Amino acid sequence: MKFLSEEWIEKAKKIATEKLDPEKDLKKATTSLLNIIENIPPDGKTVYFYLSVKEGNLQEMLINQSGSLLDKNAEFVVTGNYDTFGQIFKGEMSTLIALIKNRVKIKGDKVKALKFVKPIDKINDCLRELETEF
Amino acid sequence: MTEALLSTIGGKMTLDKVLSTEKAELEEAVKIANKGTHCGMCKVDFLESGLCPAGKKHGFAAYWPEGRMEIVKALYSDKIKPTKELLEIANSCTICGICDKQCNFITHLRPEKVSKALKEYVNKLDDKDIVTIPENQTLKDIRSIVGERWASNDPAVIVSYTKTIITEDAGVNFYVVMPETTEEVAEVVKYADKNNIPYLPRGNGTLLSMFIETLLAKAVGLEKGIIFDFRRLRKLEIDIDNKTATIGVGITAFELQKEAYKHEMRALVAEAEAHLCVNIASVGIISTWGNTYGWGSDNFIDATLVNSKGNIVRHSDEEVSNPYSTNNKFTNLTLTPSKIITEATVKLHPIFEDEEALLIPFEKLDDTLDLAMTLAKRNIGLSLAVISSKYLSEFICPTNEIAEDFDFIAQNYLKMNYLLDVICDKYDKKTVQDLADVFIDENMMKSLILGSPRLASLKESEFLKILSEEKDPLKAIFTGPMRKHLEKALDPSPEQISKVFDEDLQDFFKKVYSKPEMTDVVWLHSFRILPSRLMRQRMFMLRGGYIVADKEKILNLNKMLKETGDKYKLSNALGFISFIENGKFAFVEYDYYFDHLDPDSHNRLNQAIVETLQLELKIKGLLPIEYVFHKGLHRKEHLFYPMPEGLSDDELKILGEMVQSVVGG
Repeated sequence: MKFLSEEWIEKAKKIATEKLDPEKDLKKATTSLLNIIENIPPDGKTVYFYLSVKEGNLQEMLINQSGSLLDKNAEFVVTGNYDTFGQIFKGEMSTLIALIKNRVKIKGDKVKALKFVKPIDKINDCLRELETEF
Repeated sequence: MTEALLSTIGGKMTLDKVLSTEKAELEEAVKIANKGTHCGMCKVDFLESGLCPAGKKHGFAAYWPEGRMEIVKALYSDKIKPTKELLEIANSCTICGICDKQCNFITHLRPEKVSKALKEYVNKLDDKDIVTIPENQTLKDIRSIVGERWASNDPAVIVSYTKTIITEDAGVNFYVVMPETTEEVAEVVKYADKNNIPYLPRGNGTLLSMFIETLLAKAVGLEKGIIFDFRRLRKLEIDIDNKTATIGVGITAFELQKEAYKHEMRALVAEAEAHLCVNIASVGIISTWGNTYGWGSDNFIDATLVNSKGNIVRHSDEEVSNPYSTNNKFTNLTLTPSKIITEATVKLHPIFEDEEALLIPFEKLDDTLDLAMTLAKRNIGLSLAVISSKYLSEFICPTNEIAEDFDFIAQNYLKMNYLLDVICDKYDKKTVQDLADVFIDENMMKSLILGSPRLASLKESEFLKILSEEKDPLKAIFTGPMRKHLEKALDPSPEQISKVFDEDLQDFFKKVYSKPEMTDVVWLHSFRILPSRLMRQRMFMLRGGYIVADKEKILNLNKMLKETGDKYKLSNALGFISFIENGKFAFVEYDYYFDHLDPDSHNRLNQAIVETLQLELKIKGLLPIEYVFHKGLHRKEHLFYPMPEGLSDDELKILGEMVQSVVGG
């Protein structure tokens, strides 16, 4: 299953809803995040991957290429290239290291964003269970 | 390996076993290589001995002495197999001995033995032992930008960057590229961006070599992708009318200073081996000369950068949005650069004929700071810093053992724990002399430099024991009649100091120490060839940062850093305290020394780093050094005003999680 394909998103939504505990894993967080993933091979397109949680419950997980998800005005916008997001999803690099290494740029309140690093890493851990082809 | 030789060992031994036998011959070389700490001074002609001919010709770190050290280690541990380029690297060494002279002066090592062992090892190999490394598409593409010669994926070339940009466990999945122009850098970045290839630029690698030995390795190093080695961007143009210099990112601090001195001017530079552009962009140039010249952004006029999309940006571009703005919040931690600097135009400052160095010795830091801050606030002293006796000893003594004994004597007999180190003109000199009870002048400093081995040998002498019982040993030794006795006892001469070097190098070092600049304290401050001695066969990690220049704050910071160092059983000492902004801010460097070959020592260092960072961030008015990284191009007004308030408990908790994440990779 190709990373960030429609099928992947559907499965990701399902597994995240089933497996993540709103309190233990997602710390009852309420926030929204838009990942802008650039340079996706083979033709270098950009994909917008939006997710929102409310009180630790996954609300939306959306993906498109049109940029319309920018209108969602996510609390945080994280921009980086495909390889970096791949490394984060594969668990080869933490979100924070990617930030410190300038591999991703973040827009939004950084102090608040750092509070969500752990819940986001939990989501990534969970999604890693999907058989993903990068 | 010849048939004849194989038969002499029974002919039954497999090729692997034969290789193992030959590899055993690398053992001695590996022992030397392990002690190397990659100060990068072998790439600077600081002794006028010339430069490694192979390194100069071929460029890649692999062809320089420090690179060969990593190659030998990698071969010995089976990290790499012999390749065709390895043969070229090994045989490019002419065994000219330049590296021994340079390295021995700084680290007391003999790297030529490593090069010889490598050469002997590869020349015993058969053609069939040589692995061929295919040129893949990525390499082809990069080579089409920079030329075939200047990009490589050969493991022998790659491993030579271990510990200066890549971690030891990172493998060899890298490319090294040596562009010649900003345009080539931009093209490679565009290519990397389009193809999702991570990359990281590198100057001479000294700062990275320090951080890669710590828990910050994963955050500062490169895990795969393209290594930029910038040695080929070598523009160096002096504009005499405007008193500026335009330099490419491949120019070292030493090279610029040498050129500036020809025109009777001085640049604000970092350590001799640092690529100056990189140093400006990374930490903004931390120097004792900051008292007059300020820091990085006070000194550069224009900078050329390549951004993450491969666009060339100049600070002087009219369309550029404010490039100087940054913030000092604890979340703004950046351990790799967001843009690549390729060129800068920097200010040059006048040199005065009456410049002179004065060192005022003190027993207590408290008293040293009183005088230092009085001078800093009045802009007295072109260069002004508080230094510890440890720092002085490390710099002027030719070996670690001599430095230790020198420091012991300074502290225990002379009661000289700290020195106020001032470079002044004749007007400042009058003021300093009026304010100081005792001072060490240039003649005495010359005696201490050339006589350092002799002084160290007096550790058990009655003369020093008697001296230590004086009411004020500093006054007695430096201003009283005992000065004459000390100078006689030191017997300072190039002959004397050269005796601490290996016999075959003594003539060379006699000539080196006969040169006036080697004992000229002003020259040594300008060219900064001695700080690398802090990395002499062991490593150090600096702690501290910029702090509001308040005496109590500085003393408390010093105390905290000492206590933490002691707690983790790390040899530790204040390095120096310098000043900027009319004495408003001080930079405090406190050093933790550790054995880079001892895992336990690493572990204790890492714990000390985490603990000190947490404690530092609680201090109101302190900006830890980590928060200055890659902010050197920004205006200090953005970075230092206002100074941080100190973190709340909630913020400290988040910081703790950040640190855990960094440590965990």
